[in-house]
Amino acid sequence: MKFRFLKFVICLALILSGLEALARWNAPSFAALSNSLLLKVKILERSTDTNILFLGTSRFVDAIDQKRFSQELRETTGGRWKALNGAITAGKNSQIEYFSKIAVENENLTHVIIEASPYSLETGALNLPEPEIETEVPPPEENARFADRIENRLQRSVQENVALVKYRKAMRPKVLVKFLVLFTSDWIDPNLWSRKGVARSILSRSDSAMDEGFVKTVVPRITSPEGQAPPEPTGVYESFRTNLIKISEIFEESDIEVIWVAPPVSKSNISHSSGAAFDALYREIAHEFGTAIYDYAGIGIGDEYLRDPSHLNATGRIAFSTVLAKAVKSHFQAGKTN
Amino acid sequence: MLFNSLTFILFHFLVVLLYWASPSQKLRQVFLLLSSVVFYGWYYWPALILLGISMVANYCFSLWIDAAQQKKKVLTLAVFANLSSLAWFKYSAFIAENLISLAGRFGIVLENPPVSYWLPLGISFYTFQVIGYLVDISRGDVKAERNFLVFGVFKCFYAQLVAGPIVRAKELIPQLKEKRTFSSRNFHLGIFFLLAGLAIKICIADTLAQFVDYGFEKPDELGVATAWLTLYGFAFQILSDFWGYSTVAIGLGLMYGIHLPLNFNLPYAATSIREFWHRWHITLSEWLRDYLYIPLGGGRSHRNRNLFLTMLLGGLWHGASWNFIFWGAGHGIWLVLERISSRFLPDNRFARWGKIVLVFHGVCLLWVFFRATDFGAALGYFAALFLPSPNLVGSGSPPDALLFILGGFLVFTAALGKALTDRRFLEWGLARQLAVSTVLLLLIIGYADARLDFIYFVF
Repeated sequence: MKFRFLKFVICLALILSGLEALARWNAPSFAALSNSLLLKVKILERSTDTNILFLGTSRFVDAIDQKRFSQELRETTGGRWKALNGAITAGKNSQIEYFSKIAVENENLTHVIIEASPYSLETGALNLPEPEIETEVPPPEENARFADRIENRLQRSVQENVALVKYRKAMRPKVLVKFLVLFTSDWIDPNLWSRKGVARSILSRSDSAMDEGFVKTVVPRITSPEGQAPPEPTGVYESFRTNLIKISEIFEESDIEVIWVAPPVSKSNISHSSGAAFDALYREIAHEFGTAIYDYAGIGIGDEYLRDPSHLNATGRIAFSTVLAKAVKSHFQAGKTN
Repeated sequence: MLFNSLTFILFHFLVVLLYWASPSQKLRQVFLLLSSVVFYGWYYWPALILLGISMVANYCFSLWIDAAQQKKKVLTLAVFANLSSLAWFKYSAFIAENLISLAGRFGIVLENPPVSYWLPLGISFYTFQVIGYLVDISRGDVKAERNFLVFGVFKCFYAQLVAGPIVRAKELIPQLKEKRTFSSRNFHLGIFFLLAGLAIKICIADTLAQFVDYGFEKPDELGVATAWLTLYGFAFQILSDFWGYSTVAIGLGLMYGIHLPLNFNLPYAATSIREFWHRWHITLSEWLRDYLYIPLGGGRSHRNRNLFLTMLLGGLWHGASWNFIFWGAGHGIWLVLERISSRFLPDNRFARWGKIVLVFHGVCLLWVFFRATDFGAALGYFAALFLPSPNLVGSGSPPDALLFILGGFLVFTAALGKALTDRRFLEWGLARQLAVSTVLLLLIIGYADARLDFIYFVF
């Protein structure tokens, strides 16, 4: 029995050492599997023929069906369009900026559609797993108890020195799904695997009657850049403006067109979704960089399209992707005419 | 220390090493007592004062009861002293609050008395354990332990000090006294229990907590289906939290060669509420049966009253709030009704499945009182369960992650539930043992971001 136990301990130690070595040697892959932003970056790198990229937060994750959008655009324009929804749940502006800098290296990318909402403008943490960029365990407060300081130091030390812990999110069962996401992203929308659920999306109603109803209701409030008096650059708006300019400049330098889109919200949530100063800020940036804004947030849609006040459900996702594709097609045609 | 902290893991393996390296049993007992003291005082050392007083007082009481002619009188005094301490720390604020409220109804304005709002960790557990010991001595079931070291370890063995299992003296004390040789079989099983317990706690209980906390905080934002799923989430969260803790405790004990009793045995597979209590928090159920229900008269006289009172007090044991009293009363009434009606219920394969579903849902509905912060919040949650919320915007569909974790729990239980109840792990082949242990370890690492306290720490 003792021998059996020793064999167990030695084998377990060997397995863990092997996994640790694997994680150290394949750090970029483990990092991608443990981080939603890096996973999307990997998908974009694999999908080199992508020409339209969506960037944003969970609202875009829920609102955009890249397959339906591309299909609709292809059918109506006859062009070869391939979209990738690169939005990430709880995405922050720093993450959008990081993704943008990598995205511009994709030679086929011609358009970027970015979520216009306060959430996507919040600076936030990058949350990459490299400890030199960000350590998830915050340093202990000066007045923290001895016990807490010891625990904190131990956690930091383990996180910094053990790759399996550093990339620990790659150890979750969900990582199996992430492998599927990575290798099926050309056929299956990567976002279906997480927030909405494949089964639920397949089961959801997406017939044309529903889409028609949606099209009639949802008409963007702003469809072209307008020069208006910008808000006072104070407080949060100052950082919002800086972030907007940063993102716009990244794509302007690479000659990639930016379209800002505010996804729809519930009727009860219109007042929370945007404000006059916020609108004016977007108009100012759109005017400065010659970009278009499509604001669906000021309309308010029915509950049948929503999962909660600010996130679309599977039906809303299909319907909105169709509507947006039509609006983008019109935008392209207007651009050609001009 | 929390079982799910790195500090504890290092601490435990260091103590285990010292324990087995010690040449004499006495030295081992010293290590166990000292490590239990460090464990308990790690976050709040003043708590050791109360534990120390309780330890010395109960040691003296145990010898006194053993030597006394009129054991019942000394026992009454000892039980009164223990319950007074429990009442002061756990129930004084609740009693004062209700007295003030009652007096207010008669126009009498009372001020809040300077009562303690500090609840010593695990006080309910160690108080019940020692009361059981004192009763056993008075009944002549066990002799009072004269070795203070052994008694001290029995009173505060860190593996089960703060949240059980509630151990009987006749189970634990002989194991503490007997000099044992290192058993790789026990240690091997101990590692499996430790990994499985931590995985249940970290991967299931802690991840379910985020959905449950949100749902119970804002029930009016839940659709009916989501409200039910959130309630199932809580049912599995509390089971995973406590089952995880008890499993870790058993694993820690095994590493010292000490066998602690099983505390959970797939409770949601019960076909009756009576069976549920034979499977849920088994050591508490047995304690309530032996030291409360039977002394009240048991099945000999006023059986229904005794059942109801036992469950009512069992509910109160869980916490000082009307919600726990309602929860206990609900279980008491159900037990009585079940006893009366059981002979009329069918008993075949289909009926048994139906009973499992009914018992599970009944238990879930009573969990609402247990989880809600107060009676109003419980009613609010019941409304979310049965009435579509007027404030609901959108479909209110449940998050996929909640379904995923609930599914994960069922897979986990199906895969390991048996191995944790009948300790079949050692019969598995090496490859299977390694595969399961590796998966458990990776799951623990993968989900170790949110380190939450165990729910039963506050009871």
